[in-house]
Amino acid sequence: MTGGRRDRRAPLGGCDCYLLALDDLMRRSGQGRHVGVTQVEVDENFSFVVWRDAVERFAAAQPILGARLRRGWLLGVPYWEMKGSPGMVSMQEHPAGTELPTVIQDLLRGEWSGALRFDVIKNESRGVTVLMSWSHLLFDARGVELTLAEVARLAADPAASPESDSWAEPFGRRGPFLERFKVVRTFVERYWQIRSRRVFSLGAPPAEASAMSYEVCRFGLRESEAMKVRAEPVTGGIFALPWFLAVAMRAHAAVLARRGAVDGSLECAISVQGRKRGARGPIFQNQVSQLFFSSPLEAMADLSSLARDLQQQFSDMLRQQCDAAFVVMVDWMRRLPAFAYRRFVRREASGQIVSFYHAHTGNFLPGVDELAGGRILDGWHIPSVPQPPGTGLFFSERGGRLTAVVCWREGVWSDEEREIFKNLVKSDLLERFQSQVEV
Amino acid sequence: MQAIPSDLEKALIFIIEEKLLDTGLRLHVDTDLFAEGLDSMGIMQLMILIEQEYGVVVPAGEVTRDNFSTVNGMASLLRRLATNRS
Repeated sequence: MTGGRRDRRAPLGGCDCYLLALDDLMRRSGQGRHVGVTQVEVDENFSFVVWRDAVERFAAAQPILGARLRRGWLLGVPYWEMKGSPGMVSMQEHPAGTELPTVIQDLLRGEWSGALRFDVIKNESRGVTVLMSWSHLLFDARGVELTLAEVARLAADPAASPESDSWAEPFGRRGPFLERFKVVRTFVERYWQIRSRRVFSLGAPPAEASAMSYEVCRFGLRESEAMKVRAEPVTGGIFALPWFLAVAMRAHAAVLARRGAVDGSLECAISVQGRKRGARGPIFQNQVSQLFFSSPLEAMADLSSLARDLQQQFSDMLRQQCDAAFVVMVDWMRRLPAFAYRRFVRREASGQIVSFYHAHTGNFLPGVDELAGGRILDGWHIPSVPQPPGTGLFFSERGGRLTAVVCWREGVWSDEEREIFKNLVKSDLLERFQSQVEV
Repeated sequence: MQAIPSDLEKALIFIIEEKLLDTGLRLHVDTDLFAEGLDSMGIMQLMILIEQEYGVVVPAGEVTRDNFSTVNGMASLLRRLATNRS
């Protein structure tokens, strides 16, 4: 993190460029921008005025929020150009009784300007919903939570100085070309191994633009605890990633089985954070690598064995430094124009990068109890997903309670298929339906 | 790859601070790493780093919260695994 960079450029990192290409693919097929909405439920003590003031102070210290995306001549690396003006963030307070899902669906279309926006809606239950809408070009999930934590800190103390210029130089391995080439080869070999089988997704390329939909499933404390106990023989009470990925894979496989799919595989990319845990920055840009998991459809029969296999894949990929390989590879690809990415995705990846999107972002907003006086009750992320693949399953926790968010493009599945999907997610997590599951 | 050093705790703290955790505070052998923000993926990354540094493979059954919540717990586990190996 550095200060005093008012009239400077912030180059996009490799993963930013990868997401820029995805954003471009979405725009060209009428799917809007690649954005997400983060929903935070707070109690009635939340003050819109205090929050707005804190957001303005935050934005004033972050000119990257008002930057324009530029690309150097010919094969120049894209960059954010900052002209010294403060960042722009829209804020809107909606009247009580506003239909929340409608607002969120509108926001997920990405037809708002800038990279960050806040909407505040009073609930009928006297609580308040704070919606943070963000562009994936500037934020990853950790960056979103760092933003909320920073604005919460400013709201709690009107005299506090904001962190400034919280972006980073592109991260990743440096060193001799040959060394990096060897690292990249690891990724390329794994990628083609995964692609040697047919990779399924639920959504074909859309004939016409389809809207985003989402559904939030909030589980109670007892249910969330029961899930952990059930998963413990595989996760050891610690490493839940393979378990939740296996749940997501099996739910997709169940819909594919309904459609009669055989002899293929599912592929999913999981983000690995580049920031150190506990660090307050950098807030902006995608500081992640990706690991690509793959399992054949015939491996979906048993949840525990699938989760163990995914855990083994994770360990193997870390040993082979696939996370470092991805960073080096996308770093090299930063100079590629968007059409080259599109060509690769259409020709080499049959139009789809993965079978579905998935993440478990862990504890939501750890260490932050209040937003502008309002006690945080719960929170989760609702990302938009491109089609193909057209579906995503995302998990997070707050106060020991698990939340699952299903995101999809309209038309990607029927209501019956969506029920099959949801039912398998719940029964895999809970073994059987226990008490009332809020949906 | 090197043998388990006598000051393993110090070495583990160095690896965690250098690669995984930035709390702004100095870690101690009994600091609750999960409370400080170390997540499950961080633990898995740490296990691979340990494996590459000391050649000790942690079996899946030993990846528990008790073994990994403090540097002391990790060091005890690694010494036990190294002894069993030799």
